[in-house]
Amino acid sequence: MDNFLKKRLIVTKAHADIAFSATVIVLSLYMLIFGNQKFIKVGFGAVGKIDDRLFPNILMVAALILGCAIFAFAMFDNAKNKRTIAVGGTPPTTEFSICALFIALIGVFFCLTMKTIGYPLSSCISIYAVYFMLGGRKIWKGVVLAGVFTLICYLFFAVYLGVNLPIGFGF
Amino acid sequence: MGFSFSNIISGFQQISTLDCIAMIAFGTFLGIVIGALPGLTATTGVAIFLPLTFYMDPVPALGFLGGIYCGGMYGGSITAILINTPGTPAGAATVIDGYPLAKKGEAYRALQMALYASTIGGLISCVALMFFAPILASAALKFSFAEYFALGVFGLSIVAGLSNGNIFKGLLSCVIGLFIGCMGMDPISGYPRLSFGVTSFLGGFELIPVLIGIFALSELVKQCAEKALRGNEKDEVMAVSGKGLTKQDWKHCVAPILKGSLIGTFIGAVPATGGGTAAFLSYGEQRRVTKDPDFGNGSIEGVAASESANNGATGGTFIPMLTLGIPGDSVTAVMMGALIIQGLTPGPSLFTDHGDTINGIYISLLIANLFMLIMGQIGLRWFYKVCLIPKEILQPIIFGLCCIGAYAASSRIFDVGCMIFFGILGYILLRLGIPMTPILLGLILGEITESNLRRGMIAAGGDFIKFINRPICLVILAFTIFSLVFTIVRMVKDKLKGKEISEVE
Repeated sequence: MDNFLKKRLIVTKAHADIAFSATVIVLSLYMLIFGNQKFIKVGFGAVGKIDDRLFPNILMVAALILGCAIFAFAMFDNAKNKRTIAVGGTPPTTEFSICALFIALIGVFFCLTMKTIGYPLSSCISIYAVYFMLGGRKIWKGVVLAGVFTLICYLFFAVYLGVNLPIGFGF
Repeated sequence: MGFSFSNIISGFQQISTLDCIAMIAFGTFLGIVIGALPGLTATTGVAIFLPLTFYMDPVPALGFLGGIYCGGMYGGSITAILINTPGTPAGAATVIDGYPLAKKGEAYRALQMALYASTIGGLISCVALMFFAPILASAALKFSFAEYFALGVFGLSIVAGLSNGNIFKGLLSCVIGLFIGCMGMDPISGYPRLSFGVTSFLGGFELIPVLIGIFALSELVKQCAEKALRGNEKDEVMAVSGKGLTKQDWKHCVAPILKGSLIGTFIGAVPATGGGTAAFLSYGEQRRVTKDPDFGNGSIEGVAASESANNGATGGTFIPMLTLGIPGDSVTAVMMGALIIQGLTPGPSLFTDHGDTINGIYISLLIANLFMLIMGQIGLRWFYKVCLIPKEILQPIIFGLCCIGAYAASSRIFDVGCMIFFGILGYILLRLGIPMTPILLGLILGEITESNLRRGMIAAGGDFIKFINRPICLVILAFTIFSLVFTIVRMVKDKLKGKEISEVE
């Protein structure tokens, strides 16, 4: 498990920027040509072109220009990286850890189960999962941590502040 | 609207309840602990604990968050001095002289100086906030649609430009924030837009889940990834040993502390700069004038200069945030969200409509600095122990706080999902070198910018030139264009010279 969590995707910064800026360009073009027309209805109070679509259109034009600029810079960096590699150097890289996926999964679990099994149990399981993910292997320590934290949160938010925290199991 | 002693009295009246004092003290304590934990910044701390303030009155709520801010700025110096790792980015300059002092066995002296310099810096900046904020606010009261639009554009562009080496990424970050802000009800017509057919998107995104996601959860994911990679590797912590400050130390440090406090206040008041920039500027200035041969290798003057400046920025950053609605740094960007949740719109009208609350905020910041001094003095020898808390204990607690905080905002599970989504998006963007603060600013300033642009354009008959043709508006827009062009030209020149552009991590 520990070795699995060390897995990460390592890419050069230039490649990451190229992928990101290309996505921005495609999405902003889509929104400009189709998306803003499809998903924004013009309401009352529109005068000429000053309507509900004006600001989103300005934003998409800005995103398109910025996406192109980042793309151009990334291509320049990529060419530089090739020269660096040719002389035996290492280009700057960035990495994306698999931990992000695990945290997201634990979060999704919390969202999906909170109503059915209730906040206390859902919170305990999620916190224990994060504890385990971070290398905590003493079961009693994890259980105490999850239990005490959940209890304090429940007392503070549900009892003291009156937040509607579901207990679950139909209650 | 100007400053008077009645403001101070009114401020004291606002905070003179046991609840309020207790919340400021609790906030300051939490801030010191958070600041002392490497990897957790004052911004993360304010974002995590923001949900606790939903049910409070504005003054205790903002006093609590202000306490976290002030305490967090000081707390960063503890780990900077003892483990050579700044607890917050603002403590980075303190490492240069603080850690060598600890290695010489003078950690206690360095920690004492950090505490006193931080307190003096914080107090001076609070006084500056009390004097200058009302003056700026009364000038800003004369603003119309055009000036507000120009200020929104200025705030967004300057934050984007200064928060990252690559200005295009900073600006794109702003655009992402503005786009997220566009989702939901149109500010003029009230029609739902950009809901993509999803019913939950009709009302747009709540500020709190987005804020917790991009500032707290993304940081948590980053820390988890580092922990997974490093395993149980632990930092070497220097002992809190040695004697305290001497009269000679004070004699040498009075000037750097005063100068650092003023630099901090001034730099803090410039949007998007904050404590880190102030600390390095003050440290650089002291390096220029010092006669201490040990400067850079364990000089008490270095600690005094950097610490007074980073806490000096705390009051300064509130000036543009409260008066113009443009945050001075990322912490005040998050606190702006707290103000909005409390039903207070940052800007000049805050001073006319909620003058008492503003006075309460001033005094709560002053009190927070005094609490910081008392708590720091008592805990000088043991506050560092918080950085020994294992990550596998700390991170699950932060995760739990993020989840319940997002839910408590409006008791919707959808908000927890949003928080998770924005947390992961924030992590990906962080790894791509995209700064987070402009996203939040775009989200907050989007509505003000858009509604003023549209209302002003309608009033001007759709003529953009007529709309912006007002002296103050033109000056602000000219300054915005100048700063953008200057930053882009400098960046392109650096690129052509082959210099590496530093990006956020």
